[in-house]
Formats: sequence, structure tokens, C-alpha cells
Amino acid sequence: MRCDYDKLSLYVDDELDEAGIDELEEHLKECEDCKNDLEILMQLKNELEQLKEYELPEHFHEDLMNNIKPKKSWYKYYVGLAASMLIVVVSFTLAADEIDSVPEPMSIDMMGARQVQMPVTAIIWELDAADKGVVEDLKLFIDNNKLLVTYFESDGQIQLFSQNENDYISMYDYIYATDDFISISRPADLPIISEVVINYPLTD
Amino acid sequence: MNEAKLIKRVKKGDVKAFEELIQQYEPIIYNTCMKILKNEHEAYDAAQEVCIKVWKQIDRFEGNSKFSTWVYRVTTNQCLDILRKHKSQKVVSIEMGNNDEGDWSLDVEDTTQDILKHIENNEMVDALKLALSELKEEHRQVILLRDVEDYSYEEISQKLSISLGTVKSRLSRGRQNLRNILLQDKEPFNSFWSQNSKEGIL
Repeated sequence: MRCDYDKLSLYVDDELDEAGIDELEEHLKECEDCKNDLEILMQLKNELEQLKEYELPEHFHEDLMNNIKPKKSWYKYYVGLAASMLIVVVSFTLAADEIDSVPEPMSIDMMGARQVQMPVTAIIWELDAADKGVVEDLKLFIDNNKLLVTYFESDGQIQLFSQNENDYISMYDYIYATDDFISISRPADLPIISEVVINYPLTD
Repeated sequence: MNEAKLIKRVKKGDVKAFEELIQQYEPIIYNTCMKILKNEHEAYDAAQEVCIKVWKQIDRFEGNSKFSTWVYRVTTNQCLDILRKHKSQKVVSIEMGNNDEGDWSLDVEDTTQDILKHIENNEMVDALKLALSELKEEHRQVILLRDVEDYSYEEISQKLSISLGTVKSRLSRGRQNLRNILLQDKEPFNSFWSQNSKEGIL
């Protein structure tokens, strides 16, 4: 057999028939040039393989974030959640008593009623604040910008309920741009009515 | 938000900052896992595990190297662990089955280090990409389809509406030309061969 690069090219792709393979392998035993060509061909093929870009599977990010657990404040999260549900239930009861007398505009109590029907854990964004001062600044921001956000304060915690998406996003942007807040849970992607719970130290 | 600031926040336990940070790395992590493990299911699980480790172990990143380098190390270590497990499973099956696969025992460590060297060598990749760009379009096309995208000859023939014979000849000519471009004694092509011991071949 004479030197034949085409056959080497077929050989590295496993596209030669059995007789072709035998013939080529016999030739390779005697021909250093073809042996070198074959080695380079295989290396090229191997390197080219590394250029392939694999697309990230569709639900990769969602699956990941579902498995990310907050590192701290677990107890605070559940205490906060329980407290907010208690407020919601109390508010709902009051609303039920006075429902005829308070039809418009939508009250905090009505928000509470809707909150009960929604999967509460999915829409609570919990954060830790560095001190009470940053929470006061946030309240000022909400008031100054007339955001439709209602808040309840208890010792060391403030719960904020937003009534529309734009106002939620304004509040979200403000919180996220401020270094003194740390998210310890993931905010909802497309909130309609959302609750934000912020824990803060009682002493400055 | 810049990366250093995000890392600082993630270290404090900020989930939202982690989400922003990790989204930039997910495709890189997954690609590295695919190239080492060559199995979609395993690469998916490995890449998920790597991202979770980044979240849990970010305190160990001290900023002495680039963050991307640290993430890369976490990724390759994860893949190495999986390959080591494969090796131990394989050894057990050889012993139990007593078949003639005794020469199977490739050194996983060496093989993987070789793969890693190739993946992380950007200069080599750049040289290869430049050489490809210097090829005629009809040659580059078949090489990319065959060697990068792993299409069969039949699929290439259908995709490009050319005969099987033309696929074969274009591949052969294209590979010859690619080799000749890379063998030119100048940069950046010399970088390609520094990984592949040019002297040993020629």
C-alpha cells in the first residue's frame, strides 16, 4: 500500500472497513511518516473536541436555587413566618367582621385575606439589617416615594407588605443596592403581593 | 454589582447575591464537567454539587487567586472524585468477574490531569481557533461538524447537501491544511504544540 492521507483520515473516524483497517495497520508498521501523520491527526481530533460548547440544561438554575438553604437565622425565619401568619389571621378575622363597612379602597386586612390563600413561604423575602438606622432609612424611602407598602414593626423585626409590583420593585431595588441588608432567603421572581421581613438588632 | 462586592455579600450569607454571582459561572462549570465526565446526567449532578459547594464553602476562598480559578478547582476536584469512584467500581467488577480486562487500569489521575491541561490551556485553544479561521470555509465547516459537534458522515452529507465522497475528501483536505497551518514555526501556533510535544512527533 502507498501512503494515503485520506485513509488515515477515515481511520481516525472509524470509517474504514475491516480489509481497509488491516491494510493500513500493516502499512503503519513500516511507514514512519504515516505513523507521525496519524499521531498528529489523533491529537488534532482530540483538541478539537475540547472546543465544543455545551448548553446549560433548561432547569439547571431553578433546581440549584431550590437546593440552596439559608446559612443562618433559620429560627428567625420560622418565627417571622409564624408571626406574619398570626397577623394575617387576626387581620382577616377583623376584616370579616367589618367587611360591609370597608369595601374600598383595598385595606391591609384584605391584603391579609389574600395572603392567607397564597403559598406564603414562596413569596417571603427575609433579610438581616445591620442596624435599626437602615430600617428607619427604608421607611423614609417608602414614605417619601409614596410607595404602596404597609409595614408592621415588632421588637427587632419589620414586616413589609407591598400592594403592587412596581412598588415592590422600587423597594427591592432600594434594599438590594444598600450594603447594610443581607438576603437570607431568595426573593420571589415575579411578585404581585409580597412580604419582606427584615430582622435588625435592637441596639445600635 | 461587581464580583468582589458580590463575593463579600455571599460570604455573609446573601442568597440573592449568590444567585447573581453563580449565574455567570453555571455554564462554565457545566461545560467543564461535561468535558471531563462526558456524560450529561453525571455532569448535571456534578455541576449542581459544585454550585452548592461554592455557596457552602465560599469562606475558604481567600482572594489569593482569581475567583474563577477557585471555582475551576472546586469543579475539577468534584469531577476527579467521580472518576476515582468509577475506577474503584470497575476494579471491583474485574475482581468479581475474573475476566480478561486486567489491563483496563488506566491511571485515572494521569488521564484527568491530561484532560485538565487541555481544557485550561487558553493559548492552545486560541491557536487552534486562529488556525481554523484560516481554513477555507468548506473545510472548516466539515471539521467543526465532525470533530467538534460529533456529527456522523451521513449527517454531515445531509446537512450540507453534499455526497458522502465529498464529505470524506473535504475532511481529509481540511485536516491536512489545518495541520500545515499549525505546524508553521511562528506564534501563536507554537503554543499549540508546546502542549503536544511537537518534537516527539516530527
